Amino acid sequence: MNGQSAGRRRRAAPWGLWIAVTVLVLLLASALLAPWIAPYDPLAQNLQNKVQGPTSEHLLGTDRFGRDVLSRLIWGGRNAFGGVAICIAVAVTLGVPWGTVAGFWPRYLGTVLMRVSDIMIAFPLLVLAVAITGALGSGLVTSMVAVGLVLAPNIAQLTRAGVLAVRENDFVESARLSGVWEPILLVRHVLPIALRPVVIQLTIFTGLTFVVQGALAFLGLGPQRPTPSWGGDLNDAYSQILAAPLQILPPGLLLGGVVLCVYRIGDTLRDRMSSNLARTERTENDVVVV
Amino acid sequence: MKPRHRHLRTSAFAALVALAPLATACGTDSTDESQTTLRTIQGLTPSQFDPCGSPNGSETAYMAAIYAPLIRTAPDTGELSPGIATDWEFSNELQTLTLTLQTGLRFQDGTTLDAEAAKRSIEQCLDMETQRIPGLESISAEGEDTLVFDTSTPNSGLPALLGSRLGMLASPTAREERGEEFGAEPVGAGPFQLDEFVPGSSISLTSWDEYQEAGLPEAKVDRIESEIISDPSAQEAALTGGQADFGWRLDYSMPSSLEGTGIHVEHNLGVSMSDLNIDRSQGPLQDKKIRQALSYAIDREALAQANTSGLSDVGAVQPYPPGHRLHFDELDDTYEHDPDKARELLDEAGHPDGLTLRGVSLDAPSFVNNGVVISEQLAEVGIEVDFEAKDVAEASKDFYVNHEYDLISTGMNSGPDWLSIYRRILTTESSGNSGNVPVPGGEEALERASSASSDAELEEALKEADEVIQEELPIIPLYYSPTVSAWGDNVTGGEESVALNGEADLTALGLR
Repeated sequence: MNGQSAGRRRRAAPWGLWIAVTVLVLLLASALLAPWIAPYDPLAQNLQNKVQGPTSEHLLGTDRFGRDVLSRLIWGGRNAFGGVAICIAVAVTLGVPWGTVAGFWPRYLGTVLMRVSDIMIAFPLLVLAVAITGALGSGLVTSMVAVGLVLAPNIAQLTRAGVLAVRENDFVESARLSGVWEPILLVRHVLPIALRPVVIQLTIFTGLTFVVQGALAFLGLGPQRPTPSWGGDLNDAYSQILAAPLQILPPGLLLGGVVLCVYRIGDTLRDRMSSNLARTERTENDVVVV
Repeated sequence: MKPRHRHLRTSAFAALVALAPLATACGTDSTDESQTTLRTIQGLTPSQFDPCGSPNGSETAYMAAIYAPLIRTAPDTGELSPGIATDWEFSNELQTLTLTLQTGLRFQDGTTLDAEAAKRSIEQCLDMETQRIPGLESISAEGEDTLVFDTSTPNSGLPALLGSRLGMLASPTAREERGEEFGAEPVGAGPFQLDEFVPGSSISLTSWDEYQEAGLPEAKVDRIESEIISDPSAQEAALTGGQADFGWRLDYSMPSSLEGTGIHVEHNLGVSMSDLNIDRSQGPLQDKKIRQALSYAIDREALAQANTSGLSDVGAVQPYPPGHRLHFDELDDTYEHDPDKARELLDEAGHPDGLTLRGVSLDAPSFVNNGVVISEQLAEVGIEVDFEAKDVAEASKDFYVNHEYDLISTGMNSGPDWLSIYRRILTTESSGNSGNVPVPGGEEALERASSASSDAELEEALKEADEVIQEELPIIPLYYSPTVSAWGDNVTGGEESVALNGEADLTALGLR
């Protein structure tokens, strides 16, 4: 097999990707099927059987109120995946038009829009998310909308960079000269290419959002108790850390594992979608260049 | 036995972060070896130190060291003894209280502490409207050493009231000069002065050399440096690592985690109580039977055990805990856990299929956790309620002012001033009475207590007041909150410093 044909053939997906995808799919499916597959009611307490280790009846043990940890994690997945979906939707809905407009009309409007995004990015993500959640009120939707708002300027800047690079290409100029209406030009010809790095970045933000969502729930700004949530349950377990230190493992490992899986998918996406180098010259760590 | 790992990386990191300021404090101390510095930790955060400012309870220990009391209330028993006042007596059928004051005392800013200054200080306090004296007609200073209170109704609880925050005399001159800053720059006549206050972080007191004994003992150490540490692993590390000599209001896990470490740990049932406050001005809880159904549906023992890490299983159905002179054993069985009785009462009230209530809880973990357990217990009898966690200001506004909720998971400190606590529960105009709805028999019960001319009469009257509380349930008591204190071998007066209200008597503490 010569080098050219090897370059043309797409590399087989690494096994790590398949593990990550499988884990996430299983978790998502279990969250969706929670009412049928969770062994217990996640809110049902048994104060006579609290803070127990794994048994055949409770595979991951019971928490400080005697609730089944496994059932709470399965149900908590609904809030976790749902919350991340809300957050990414807000970030994309706000950030992509923001960056597109700034990139396509960069002179005045774009400058103003980017200065606004600079100001927002200057604040630490979690601090700003906590402040916005505090103003909007605690809860899954409000906290995730807050994180989405905080991530939107990052999406906007990335989108703008992509649009700026693509808008100067010959094919865009040709389309313009042939009289294609600018919004159509933007949507049909510019965005599909300009958004490639945004898609890759979104996987990173997805992983980050799981972490931030867990942190906000840990701080009591996510779903209200006793609603199951991974971060809230981690907080409950942490409050018992001196008496039962192993309690933090199930929610902690789950949260960490999900983030690793998302990042693994992001890595593969980056490898597949990034680089304007010839395929034969690509390495795993190529940066995104459109 | 559950496995324990004290040296978890998370614990160590949390401890390291939390102890960094302590390490600095120790370094400062070592530069002057002639000074004795007691290093303490506490789990709650004071916000100010004016006895007439907004209280959150955690400032009491410091105020009790900064301010000399008009009448001293023994921290461990609640008994009254002379403070700035050496003697007091009632006349005019308990409507006039005359106090004889020590002479020659001064505040820490040099202001003379005589009857006129005491009068001004108390009047300033009353003007701030965080406290009041029921039926007060006048306060008068007669000469240098006589202070007279006249009330329109009998007021046997007045000495106890003057033995609490109201009687912590602040320099009227300093309070006038400093205005709103006074809470952060307090001036009293006690054995300690506030040296530094970093909100949410640390408090330093230094002994006042010119203190003249007025109820409180002289300072036994030159300096007290206190750090606010709420993380249990950091609390454990500070005490076992020698960075703190004494700690109070510690996490409930401390008694088990400090076992075998050589640190003395004491936990007691104090007069702090968790409870549900009820809005009787609107919604289903206007009906007494539903309130009683709630009370029967709650398994207080299980609730106490679950939320105190097993330190207590004593449910509360009256303000004072077992062992206190104002606790009445014969009233203990009133609301034994009885779900069937709860369902029966709901049925009688016209809710055979149950009902839904709106709950809010203060966002401190103990109150949130109470809400979690209670909502599950109430669900068993068909009452649906979820408690929304909010900070104190928002929860209070939404519950007491906006009437957005039927009940609130909160707590109160019953001591040692009985008049304040019974007024709060039973009177119509009380700030704790959402909607200011009269409690049938409440005012009368308080009147009888206020007219009591002996301890026996007072106890009988307060027992009747407890019966009114149990019948009408303006609040639903839950359990007495244990208090946890701990100290090292180098500390003297540890046991004496454990106060009924869960605070520490810092003036009792010394170093070997």
